[in-house]
Amino acid sequence: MSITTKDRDDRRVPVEHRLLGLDKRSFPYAFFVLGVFLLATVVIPRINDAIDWDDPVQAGDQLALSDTVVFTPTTGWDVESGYRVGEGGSAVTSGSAVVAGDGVIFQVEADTFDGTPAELLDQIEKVTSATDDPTFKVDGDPATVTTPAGDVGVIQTYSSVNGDGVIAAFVIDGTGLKVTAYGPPAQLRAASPEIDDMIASIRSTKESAA
Amino acid sequence: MSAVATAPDAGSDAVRRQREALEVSGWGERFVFFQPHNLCFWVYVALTGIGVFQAWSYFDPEIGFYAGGFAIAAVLCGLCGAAWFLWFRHIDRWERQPGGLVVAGLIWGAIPATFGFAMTVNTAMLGIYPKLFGQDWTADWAAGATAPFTEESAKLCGFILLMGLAPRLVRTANDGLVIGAFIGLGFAAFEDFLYAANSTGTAFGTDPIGNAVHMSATRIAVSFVSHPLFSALVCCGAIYLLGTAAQPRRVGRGIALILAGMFFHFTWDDAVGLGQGGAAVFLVMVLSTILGFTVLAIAFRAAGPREHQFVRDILAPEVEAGTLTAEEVDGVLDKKARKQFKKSAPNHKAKRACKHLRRAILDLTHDVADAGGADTDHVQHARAEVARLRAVAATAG
Repeated sequence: MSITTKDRDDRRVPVEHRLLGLDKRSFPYAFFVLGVFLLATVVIPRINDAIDWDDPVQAGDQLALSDTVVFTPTTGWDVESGYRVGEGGSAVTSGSAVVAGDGVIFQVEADTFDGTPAELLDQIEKVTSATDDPTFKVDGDPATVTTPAGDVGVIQTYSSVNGDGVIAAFVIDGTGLKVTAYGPPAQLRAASPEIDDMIASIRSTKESAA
Repeated sequence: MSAVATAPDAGSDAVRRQREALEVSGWGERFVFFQPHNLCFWVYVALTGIGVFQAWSYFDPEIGFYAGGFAIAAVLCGLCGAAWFLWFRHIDRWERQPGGLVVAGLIWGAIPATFGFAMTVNTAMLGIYPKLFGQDWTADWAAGATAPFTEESAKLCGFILLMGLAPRLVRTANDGLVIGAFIGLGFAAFEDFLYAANSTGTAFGTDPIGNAVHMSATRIAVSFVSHPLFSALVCCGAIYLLGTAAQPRRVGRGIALILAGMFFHFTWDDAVGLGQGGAAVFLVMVLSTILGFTVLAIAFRAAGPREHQFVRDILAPEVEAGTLTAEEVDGVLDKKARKQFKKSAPNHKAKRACKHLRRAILDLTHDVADAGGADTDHVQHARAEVARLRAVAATAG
């Protein structure tokens, strides 16, 4: 090695290796990386977009939100995320759920919460408007919703630049549930019976197990 | 031993060996990042820019609300990363990687690999799997069927760019292990922070600081098996697979190391699926840790002889001139000779002096390489240090 090789970066690229002022010897490395980048950020996401959901809810299916809380999604809607009760095919058996149908997304997030449903709704509004969606705003006063199983929650409509919807909050067995349903206004209105049914189906399995 | 130094003949075999070793190894070469003629430079800058933009878009909405949680996560994950950084610098003993190269590796791992590549492609892959194989399969296997491909290739891309930016510096299997570890460290530190930052929103954002501390602690606790291990194996494999001026191509070994890095990533990510949620999860983690470090040790051992030969060749004129003895050089390189050397020291003080002497001989190697074989002030000082520490060792004995 000599001093000249140390300074090679300052020198002009030898003419036989030059293309548009660039050193052609660097091309294989650079093009390999660009190829991987395009595959990762363009091709694979497009494949994901091109594949439709095809996991419809069958009659009798229930989704487990926690070890003791379940709900019954509308038959025919697609399960985009969530764990069916009783399948036992995975090490994880419960968690948040997303089902989609009739142009509406119905989402239930489950996590620990120590408080009342009204406090949970306040907390959700405070966090959502301060973080993910500054335009998130609940409309009017919350209404009480009582499920046939006797669990009491609160429900409210909300508006956001990302779309309008309804939001409900429950606290069952120490698990807070944030229920959101959103989509274009017409579809949301048309699907409101299904949304109401799904909210009403939320129940604890604790007593029945006991 | 008392060394009487005589200048080696410029045309001697020893000087020729040194010259060839410096040429092939690239030891002493400086790293220049700004290379406008090099397409790799522009690709690095562009993809880092995309990564910064994506990272900002991701964190910006939440950074104000969860500032406390984010700050504590950054401090904890930063400290963990710094500890690993110091350890990696410590074990980087042969051709010490230039600081600029290390920083370029760390930044690639932290920003473009995570936010430029992994976040987008992981989201897409985790969208494809449940559509094709259902939710239960996804819960057990999707992570391990995603990250070993997407994240390892994202980190490998940084290594490939550094090969294009510094072809003379990144060319031995040992370079692959060390630079791969630094790229992986950048990725791991930022990923740990990302997990901790995301955890601020759990439990509906009721305890952001507590959750950030808890998640940081969890990530730090398992950080000993992480991206640095996986990337070290993958990048070392890439060097064998591609072959360089200093490392003849070994396709089989290269593929084996790349697959090993991906496999350990898989077993780590899918430990829950492999163990089916029971105590077996812990067993899977312990086994993959033991196996992972065994393979890493084998890879380091296989990479050693090449570096040892460079040290011998670079120091050949010093041995010829009598500054060093061949036994002293062997004491630095050869594990058996080192043990014998250590055993022959009668007490703790002498053992310590021998250790310092070995370190001084390595310093001399680096100074000779930095000077390109010339006789500079630094080299003379390093020689004087060797002589001084040798005298200390002799007195201690």
